[in-house]
Amino acid sequence: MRSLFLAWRYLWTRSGQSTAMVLGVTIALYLPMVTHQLVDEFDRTISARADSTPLVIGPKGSRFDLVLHGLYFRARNNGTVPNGEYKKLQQLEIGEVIPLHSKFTCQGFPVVGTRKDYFHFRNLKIRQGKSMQILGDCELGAAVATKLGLRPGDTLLTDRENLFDLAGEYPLKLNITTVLAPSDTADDTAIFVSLKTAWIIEGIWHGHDPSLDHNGTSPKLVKKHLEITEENVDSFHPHGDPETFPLTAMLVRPESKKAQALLLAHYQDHPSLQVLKSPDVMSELMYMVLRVSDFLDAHHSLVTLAMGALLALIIALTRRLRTRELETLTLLGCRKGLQWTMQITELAIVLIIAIICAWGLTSLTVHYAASYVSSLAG
Amino acid sequence: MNIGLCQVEFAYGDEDFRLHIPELKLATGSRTAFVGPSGSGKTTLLHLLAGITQPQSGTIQVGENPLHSLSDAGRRAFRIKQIGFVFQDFRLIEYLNVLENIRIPYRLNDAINLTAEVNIRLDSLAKDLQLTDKLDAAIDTLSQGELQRVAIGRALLPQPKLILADEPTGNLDPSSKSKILDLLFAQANANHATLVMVTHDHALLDRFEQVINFEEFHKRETPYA
Repeated sequence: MRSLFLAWRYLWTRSGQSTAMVLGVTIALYLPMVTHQLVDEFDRTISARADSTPLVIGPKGSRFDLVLHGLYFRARNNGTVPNGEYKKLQQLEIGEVIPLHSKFTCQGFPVVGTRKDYFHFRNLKIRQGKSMQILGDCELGAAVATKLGLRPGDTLLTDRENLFDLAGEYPLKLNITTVLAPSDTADDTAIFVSLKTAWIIEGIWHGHDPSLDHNGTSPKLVKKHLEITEENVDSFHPHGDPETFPLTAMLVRPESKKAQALLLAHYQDHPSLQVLKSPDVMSELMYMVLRVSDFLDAHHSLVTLAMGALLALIIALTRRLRTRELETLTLLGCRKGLQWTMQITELAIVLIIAIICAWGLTSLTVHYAASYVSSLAG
Repeated sequence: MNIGLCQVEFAYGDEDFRLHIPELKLATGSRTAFVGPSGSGKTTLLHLLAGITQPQSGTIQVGENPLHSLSDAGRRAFRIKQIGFVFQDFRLIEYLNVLENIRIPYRLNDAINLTAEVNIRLDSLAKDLQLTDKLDAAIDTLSQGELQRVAIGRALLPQPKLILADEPTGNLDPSSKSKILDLLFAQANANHATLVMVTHDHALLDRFEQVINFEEFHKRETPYA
């Protein structure tokens, strides 16, 4: 404890030098700590989302694309799942089956066509407004509503897939009926519509607007968008066999292990569809993320090593500058080893303060970044 | 505290300086001045008496302590408990204030402990040294005279039985010299301490009971002699 007093007084008096040392060590510790915490948070969130969605069914192709599409509405599938496949699974009564149609966007946010079961499946609550009722209604994820400044009663247009495709589908004006409560998941950044509304955007369902000809094109050459109103809602109808209408994926929560095994077996040799275990695919993905994290660890180790070397240099130079002071302590009769204990205590104080600062900074960062990480991975 | 040196030989490794003291005795409570030209070994003898350096041969007995045979740790404990050393260049710790500098011996070795009684003594000593209103001051804000008084305060606070002062009046004006000397003598008397002082100032010598001229101890080896 005798050395503690001298060490503290030295550091206090040389506050500039001490602050620089604490700052350097804090940064060297903060970087790996915050990286680990955020990667862990990312891993936790991504695992939770995958675990709550045991199986994803979709067209054959990239496994990662399909799972990312099913869980996060990102990545586009090459191909579709016929609506009839969804009906077939429903009849098998193997558990919860949720159809998804996510091809279009609204101001950059994915428009997800699904059934009301999805909201129960994801435990999504309404913050404002009431559930969608008719064609053209939509429910906004919390982040979409905040970013676009929208509320129930407002409208928004879907993005046109191809600006130069004048003969293609028109943007559809969506009526916002609901803003969902924040869930810190990908659902916060999605716009939910019914499957039929999604098919209207795709041009599979048609309505007969007096201002449009039978192909949905305007006799006045320029029609900016489609709009579903009380007057024209009943005129919308499908063209073609509903069994063939496209879905982009199906989410399945089997009711038992046996049901899951049967489903896996059913799609094992399917010519165009595949069923994937989301947790397994996401684990593979996380493995790659962790490899990157390992690389960062190596980088951080080098930074820490450099910081350690710098500290050692500072201590060595300081010891040289303090030769006379340390000699004085010996002349006065300080106990043997006090000088070393004093300098080790100084270093310990710097490290302890730096660890506390790094821990505090990490906690703050994780606290404020957690919802961002969740929105990325949830 | 009696001091007795017998056949003490000391030399620095690669220098031709050599100190030889056949016999030297100082009585308890005595006041002794060491005089002699620079480099004659006065400061070296103070270091030997404080146990800072060890003789190559001979014996040094300070009170009950045979310094020539004490371990390094033993000599450090002896020094912190029994010796009050006033260094020629003060040797104050820059990052401590006046109060902390005076009290520092109690922070350096478990052989002495800081008690309430020490703090009371410190207040009284600070008053005697006219440092009461400077106790919180930083060392680099003090005058030479004030630095000298802080160094003396540090040496006297543990009530040493042997006060070793290396030219403590060297940088002071005549009036301050007299005051510092009065203070050292008063403190030595109050604690029945033995006082040994190195000085070049012959005007002060009549205040000492014993004056030792180092010309007789100092031998400079001349290889061609």
